[in-house]
Amino acid sequence: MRREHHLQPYTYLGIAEGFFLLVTSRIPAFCGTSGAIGVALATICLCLLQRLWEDRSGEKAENGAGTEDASPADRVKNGQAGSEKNTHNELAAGLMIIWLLAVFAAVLWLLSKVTADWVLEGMDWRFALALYLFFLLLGVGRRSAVWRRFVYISWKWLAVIFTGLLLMSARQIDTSYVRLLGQIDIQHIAQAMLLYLGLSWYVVMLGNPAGRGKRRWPGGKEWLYLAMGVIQAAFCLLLALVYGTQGAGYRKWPTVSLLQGLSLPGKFIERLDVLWVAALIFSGLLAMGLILGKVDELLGALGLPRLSEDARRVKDGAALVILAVTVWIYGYSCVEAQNRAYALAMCVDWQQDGYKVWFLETVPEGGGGESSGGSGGQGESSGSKDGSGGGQGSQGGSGGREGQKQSGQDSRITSENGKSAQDQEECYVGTTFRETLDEFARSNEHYLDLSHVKAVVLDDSLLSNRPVAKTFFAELAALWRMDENSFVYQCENVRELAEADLGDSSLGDYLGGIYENQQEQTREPLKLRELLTSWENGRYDREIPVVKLQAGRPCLE
Amino acid sequence: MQTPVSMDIRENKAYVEAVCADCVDIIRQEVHFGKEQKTEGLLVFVEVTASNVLLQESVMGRLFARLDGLAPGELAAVLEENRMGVSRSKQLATMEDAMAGMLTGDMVLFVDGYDKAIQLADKGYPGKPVGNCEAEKVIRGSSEGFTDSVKINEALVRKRIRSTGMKAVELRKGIRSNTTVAILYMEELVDPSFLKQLQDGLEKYVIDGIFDGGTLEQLLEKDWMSPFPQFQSTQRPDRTAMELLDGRVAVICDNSPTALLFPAGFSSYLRVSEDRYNRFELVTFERLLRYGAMLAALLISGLYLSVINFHTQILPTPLLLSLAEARSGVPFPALIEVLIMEISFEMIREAGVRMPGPLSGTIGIVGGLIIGDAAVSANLVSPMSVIVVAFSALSSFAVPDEELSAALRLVKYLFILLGGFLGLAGIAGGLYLMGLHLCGLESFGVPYLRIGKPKTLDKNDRIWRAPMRFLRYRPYYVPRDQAVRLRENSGKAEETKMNVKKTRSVRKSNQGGRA
Repeated sequence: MRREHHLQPYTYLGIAEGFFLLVTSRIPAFCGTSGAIGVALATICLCLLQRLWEDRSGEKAENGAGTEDASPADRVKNGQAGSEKNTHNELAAGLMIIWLLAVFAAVLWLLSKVTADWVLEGMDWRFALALYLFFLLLGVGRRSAVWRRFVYISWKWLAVIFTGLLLMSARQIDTSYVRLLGQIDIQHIAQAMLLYLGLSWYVVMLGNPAGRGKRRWPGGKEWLYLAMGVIQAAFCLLLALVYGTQGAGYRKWPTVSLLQGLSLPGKFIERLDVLWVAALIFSGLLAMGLILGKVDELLGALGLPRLSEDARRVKDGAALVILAVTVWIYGYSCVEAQNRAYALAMCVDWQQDGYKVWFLETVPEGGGGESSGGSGGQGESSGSKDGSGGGQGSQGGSGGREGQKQSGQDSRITSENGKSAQDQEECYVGTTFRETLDEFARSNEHYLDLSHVKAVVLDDSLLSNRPVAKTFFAELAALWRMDENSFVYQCENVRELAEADLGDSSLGDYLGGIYENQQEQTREPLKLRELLTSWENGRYDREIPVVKLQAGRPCLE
Repeated sequence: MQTPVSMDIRENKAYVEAVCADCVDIIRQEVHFGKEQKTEGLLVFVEVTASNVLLQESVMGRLFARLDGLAPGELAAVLEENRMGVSRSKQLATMEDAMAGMLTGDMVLFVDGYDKAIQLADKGYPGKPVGNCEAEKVIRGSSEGFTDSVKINEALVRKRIRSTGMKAVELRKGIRSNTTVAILYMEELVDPSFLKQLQDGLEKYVIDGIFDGGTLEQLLEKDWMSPFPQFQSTQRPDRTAMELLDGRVAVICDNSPTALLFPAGFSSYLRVSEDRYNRFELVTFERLLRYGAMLAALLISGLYLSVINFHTQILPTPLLLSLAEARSGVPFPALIEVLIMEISFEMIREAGVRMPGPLSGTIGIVGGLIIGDAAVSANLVSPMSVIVVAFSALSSFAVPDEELSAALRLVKYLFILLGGFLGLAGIAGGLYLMGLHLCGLESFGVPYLRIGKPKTLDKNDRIWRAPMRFLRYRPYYVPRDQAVRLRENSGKAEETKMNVKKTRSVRKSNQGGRA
């Protein structure tokens, strides 16, 4: 006889993980030591409650049935043994089904929102939801043994991924926030504890209504809860150490964006956060699949009809229809790499009439073709889905500029330093930063990609106006595409800098190279993430490196 | 209703003539022997299966010499008691059996006054001799491969396991082809439920002809809609012997150089016979490479599309810009471009496999190099997509099992579509579906993706292969009393013998218990 893999503890783990990463991290109470203590206490309560409910007398009887690792002959034997009368509690099973379906809907909604916000630019979250329904519907109707195998194989890999990402995120810890760990708030501890326990109440209160015999709940799983509790408490502490206790509130999905500013040695992967989100999506699908699997198991325990062969075909057909309709509506609406303008540097000025932003972008040579599938330019830069209008080129842009400039002449300023019109950098103005992005999208044939910005140069006038700067930084923090590893500089006149002729170099590479290509690091660079979190936590005195034009070339003071 | 062999040779002749009418390749040779050559006989055989019967060196020549001079009464006694000195002969009571015996490639002799037919083995059907195994080449280890003859294949395995514990059961499948199917297993190591399931599966269908194990494989698979194979196939006798010692069962079909092995797990497709011959460090490294290649073959094209279409932030800026520049001017969307390239590659592969040997190399050069280079020069495809598709193809070749490799090539298209339309969200969803599908697969009751638990004994032979001295246990489906594969020798030969005896008795009692 070998141990059985119970579905229920893993179902719980999947749900807890999904909820924690997506929901609880948005609640300030979870950010910091108070949150960690709350999670730890809740975990201990959970383990104690489980001990209370556990009925070890039935353990032997149940462990035999459904054994995965027994020999096939043993399993035939066990299958006969498992046919004993099921003494489940029907009310408990009914309540659990309702609870599970509610949790399912919540996780599905959250995952769709994250996908729309973070992974698929410009996709409406309802389409993401439809796509996940497609995947989930195809997975419905599997035997419990299949789910057990799947979760047993997957959870270890996911644990490795999540723990690894946790450790990697720890590289971003700002030591100046360590002092925040001393702040303990009883109210926050209670909030965190109650919320975290609330997610698990059904597990301990209802036991395992699908189980056979008298047994309410499989024993020996405390270590799973403890492991999960440790990981989640660590996230609570990490959020405070990376963002400060206030900073996480500026991020829409703080645990998701945790890896946004992380860079690997050698930079063979520029950004890791998307990989992290992909792991999260897999994990979310697994959690939702497990919920459906558990519901199926409970229905079986209640003696209710399960999916027949015909119903399965209908279900698979429905899934394919959902996919077809979604793809038909959403289409192939990505913006391919050659149809993007990559801003390598961004210079921002503030005057009374609003922001002036120079996106010193580069466009792949020979580019300029239409976006495949006909639409593009979505995402954070524009509310509209159509980014192919305008026809304004960029550094390497060509004909048609003059004619089309008329449409945007009210919002653009062309430098008058003697360069030809085609070489002049364009400036976009708007009362908010978002408006400048919208303006770019409205008047360019390429989609502005901010994920490769190397340098952000801020004008003194912007930094001297604290409310405006704070609003600007909050807007930057909301742009998940923006590379938070970019270096930040301060400049007396960003317009001059933006229009400086650097030959073949771009301003972003030029300024970044000053730090990166030196054998001895004599100056301390400031990354965008560090500046953002400083301001979010009320530390406005962060020193920003000053860049000046000397003999037409930028240099650090 | 079966027809018994008659004492009267004329009746037998009439039956043979009726059954073998218009079969010019079946020779009906009348012979005379015995005292004064008065006893009449009939020799029936397929034309090419017998050597010249007149030669004294042949079985029949010597047999006739032995029968000469015998009176009819003595003749019957000699035949009955097999006093002819023929090592492989069989007495058949019915005409149907006699005809079936003749069709296996043996000769059948009818003798007047004797009511049985005698089946005598001679040269048999023509077939390839034992040669090198081209499909599963190794650097270390035997290079022998299976041939088309089931008998030779059985012998090649027996040569490696010289124990009567290895059982070889033969049966006939195919009501018209009468193909011999051999089932090989180690009596003490096999789980009886495997044999029961195999027997049930074989009895489930009646088929007219079986010409390769692949037909049987498809009929026996439980999840027949899955692209993933549920039997492992090998053309190597040493691999077959190795797997038999792991409690697996081999099914060998006549006229096929491939043995089917079951139960099969996903990891078994990524192992080769050399894994037991080489040092553990090298084997572990090679297995890691194979797993990496498997993932690359499956995902690399889809990942490329998702990055180029959706997640440009993953790539370093210089690489991204060079990718984007390479894509500039290509008239097709990246998804269509990759699909065109993948399908072109499959066409080149298919053409290369089917073309005669000397031409297949030319196909590769013309298809891969000339057309590929011309397509890039004409800006029909970008150089990067050529690299991605080539890398994907290279990775699929690094997967040692051709059937798994083929399955991965098929599933790859799903990931291409998902990656192209939905980016990493689609890839994650695809992995979810594929994982779920693989977890649902079973090969003869054994889960395809086996759950490795701490109590599992054979945990030292997965992606990581432990040093040989630690590979002590057989897979978990082997009966518990036979779980130990390797142990330290205490130096007492008697003890070893006793252990074998003891395990046999335990085995018998276990079987009794199960029954």
